[in-house]
Amino acid sequence: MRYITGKTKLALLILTLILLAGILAPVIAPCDPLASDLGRTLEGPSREHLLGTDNIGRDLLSRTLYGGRQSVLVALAATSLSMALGFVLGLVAGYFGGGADFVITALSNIFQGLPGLTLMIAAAGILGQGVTSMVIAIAINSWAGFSRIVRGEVMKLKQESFVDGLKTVGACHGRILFLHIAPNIFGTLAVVFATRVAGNIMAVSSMSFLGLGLQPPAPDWGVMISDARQYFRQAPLLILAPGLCIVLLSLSINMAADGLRDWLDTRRDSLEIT
Amino acid sequence: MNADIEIQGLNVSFVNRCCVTPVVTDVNILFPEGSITGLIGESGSGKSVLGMSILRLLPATARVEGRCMYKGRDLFSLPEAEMQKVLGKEIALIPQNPTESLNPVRTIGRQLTECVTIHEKRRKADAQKRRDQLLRCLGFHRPEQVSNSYSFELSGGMNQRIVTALGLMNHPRWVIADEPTKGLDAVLRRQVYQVLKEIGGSEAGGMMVITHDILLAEALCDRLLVLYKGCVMEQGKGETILRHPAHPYTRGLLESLPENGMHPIPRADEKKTDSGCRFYPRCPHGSKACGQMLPPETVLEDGRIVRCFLYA
Amino acid sequence: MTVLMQYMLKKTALLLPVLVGISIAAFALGAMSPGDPVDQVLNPNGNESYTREEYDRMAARMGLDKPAAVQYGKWLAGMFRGDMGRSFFTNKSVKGQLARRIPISARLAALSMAFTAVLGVGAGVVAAVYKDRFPDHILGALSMTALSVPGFWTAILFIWLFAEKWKLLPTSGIASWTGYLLPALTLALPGAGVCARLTRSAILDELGRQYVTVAGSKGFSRFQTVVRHVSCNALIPVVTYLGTHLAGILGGASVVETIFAVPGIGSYAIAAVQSKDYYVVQAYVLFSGTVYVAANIAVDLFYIAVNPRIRRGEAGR
Repeated sequence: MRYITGKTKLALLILTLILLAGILAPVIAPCDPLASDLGRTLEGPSREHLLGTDNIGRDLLSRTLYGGRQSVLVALAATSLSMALGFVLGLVAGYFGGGADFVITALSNIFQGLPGLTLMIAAAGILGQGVTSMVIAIAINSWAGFSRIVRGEVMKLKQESFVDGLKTVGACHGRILFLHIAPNIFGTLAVVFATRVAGNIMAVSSMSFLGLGLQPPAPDWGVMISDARQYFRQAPLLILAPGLCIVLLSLSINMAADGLRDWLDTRRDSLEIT
Repeated sequence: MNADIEIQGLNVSFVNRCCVTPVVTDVNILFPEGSITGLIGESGSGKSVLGMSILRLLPATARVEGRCMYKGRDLFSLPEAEMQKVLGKEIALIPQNPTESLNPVRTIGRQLTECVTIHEKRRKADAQKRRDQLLRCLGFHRPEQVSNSYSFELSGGMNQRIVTALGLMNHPRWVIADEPTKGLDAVLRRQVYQVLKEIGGSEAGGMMVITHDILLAEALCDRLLVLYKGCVMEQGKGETILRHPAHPYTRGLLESLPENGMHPIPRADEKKTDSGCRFYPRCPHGSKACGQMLPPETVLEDGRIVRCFLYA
Repeated sequence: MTVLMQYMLKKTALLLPVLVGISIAAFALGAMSPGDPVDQVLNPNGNESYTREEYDRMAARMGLDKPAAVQYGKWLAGMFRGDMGRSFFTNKSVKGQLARRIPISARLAALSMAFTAVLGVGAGVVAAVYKDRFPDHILGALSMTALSVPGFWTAILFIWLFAEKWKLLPTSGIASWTGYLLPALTLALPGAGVCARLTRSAILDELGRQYVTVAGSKGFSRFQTVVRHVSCNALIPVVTYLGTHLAGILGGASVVETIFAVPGIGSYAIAAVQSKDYYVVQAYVLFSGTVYVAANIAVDLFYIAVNPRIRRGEAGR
């Protein structure tokens, strides 16, 4: 039975709203997110500043609207990169087995064994601060999860009789792998991709929060929370607004992924540990 | 006390988000104590659902109506704790799909003895004796070794015989055997058949045998029930039904057997609906009434009950 | 017994290259770092000058003039002897720091694991029992939220609410055991969310299996069935997750340790990364990689205990 539940629809609605807000930020934001007004710092909500201002008088609403643009792009880019890498390696490992499988599995075990966020932080430290290094750092950290899942799925599919059937009619490896096995994995992969994007958005904001990702004065949720730590007693909205945005975004992505998983009716156990 | 099982007005349907699917409709049967009744019919005819509904083991999505009288009580309205005392001890199950029916992480021996010990903790030694005896009867020459194995270490045929033992462990008054000879070769089939026959004869237990295997049914059962799409089409003495089938469906079913010339039942006529008699779309004798209402159950002179307007 | 030995040997043989790989990665992190360690030793304050000769002498003394492979060998040997070098900045021995900090992080991880397991498994069991009813919906929403909230934000909110507003718990530091509560809870929440979902689906998967129906036909009550038949099977994926999660907690604790000012290895590592103190980062990565490998071995031992397929050498099938 395929149906979309109300929960999934709500998630998609929230997700669309947040993404639209980010895309349309230059149009709908009431103020310049970088323009400071030292005369009006840490103000509460008012007519001109619907959510108030931060410690150097920047408009919180505008900054919050802009705040997801970079981190979402970074998370999408990094997740796509790691998915491409993990997909190819997982296919090869699962389908051919033997030495290739051993090497790839060992590599993915190594990368899963390295401490996640700290590895990202260290990699970003080595590569220098910047968007590109963040993308690479996250990709290094998350390709192994993809390759593992793809490998497992391929090994399961390889046993199916339709693959034997294809072999008997003389299909070559490439044809079997890319035309017949790979499409069966796309559904699973889409679900993992979505949950990974949610996780990586949180990772990007964590890095920015620590001062190792996006840099101030960039209007970014992680940076904003980091900036506001000293002031949130006077103006809790400074922490709450960007934080809630991160939560709502990753929550809606996770819920949409859940809906997608149910819709595809893929097996749960292969997906839960991602 | 009389240990007949009597089913009255049983209706079972599965309910999900969008619709209600009836699977068993208006079933009335008496299973006399000590008799062996065969439930035959094609896949999806509701044989297993009928058996499992007596045990109250249908999934939560099933809606069961009607009564099932046993020893003066209605099993369907018994409190859960009371029902647990009946299950396994009074009425036991020989499940189908033997390999899935066994827990992969518990030894065969424990799964067999727990049939007894769950009811009486102290009878562990008895249970072990019974287990070894049954396993020997079922053709395992070294019961200890089998008891120490896990289901995944045994073949499908071995597991089939294990679940047969499972149903018989606690000397139940009734056994519901769901496809007990599926997947067995001729020799093993004979062995299982003999054990069932013996139990049926010596231990005075009644039995319901759900099967595709009409030959087994013929050899083992006193009485037969023919099911089609959830309706009991014909019930009565096995011999009579097989020699002189009354219902058009039973006739068709028997004629489709290889030894009777393998004449398949014709395909359904798509213009006819099965809202009346379930067999109407495929029936060669259908009349207008058949499409409109479910035929009543008619008792024939020889005692069998047929659900067909030809006899009404 | 031989089957078991073979199984463990095979598993260990698979993990050994992982450990070697992790150590190479740890070493490479240091070697690739942008800072120049010789410069940092000779010129810790950034305002002292030294000659080329002095530089070469120091490089030789530190072994940095050798090829990378030799350096790696020396470094690894040093790690085995417990000689992990000194921090460039504080000049404290890394080993001493780790020895002081590991117990703190271990306590935090243990408490957090306890929270994860209790909250996660508990919520999962309740949700499975009340499938599609009110408690299931609520717990489903809660666990989904728990895994969608970034730890640093939870940490700030917790400090604000529990420590500053209601003054129930200390804001930071570990002066008493209560100091561990907030960081452990912060750390546990996302894991508990995943664990609850995993437990729920594992139990529901098992309850749908036919052996559960058969147990019912023997006269088992629902509760007896869950305890005797389902728990072992359903635990397998949950424990697998908890094993990798433990390793993850030690790695992912860095942000939470930093915010709560817990002097564990995570905050040590973050500070080291920020100041490019790579001996410390190397030692940290090697340590947490080892923990990961150890956790995997522990999970495998658990498999042996609960899964007869492995005990009986059927693992390959």
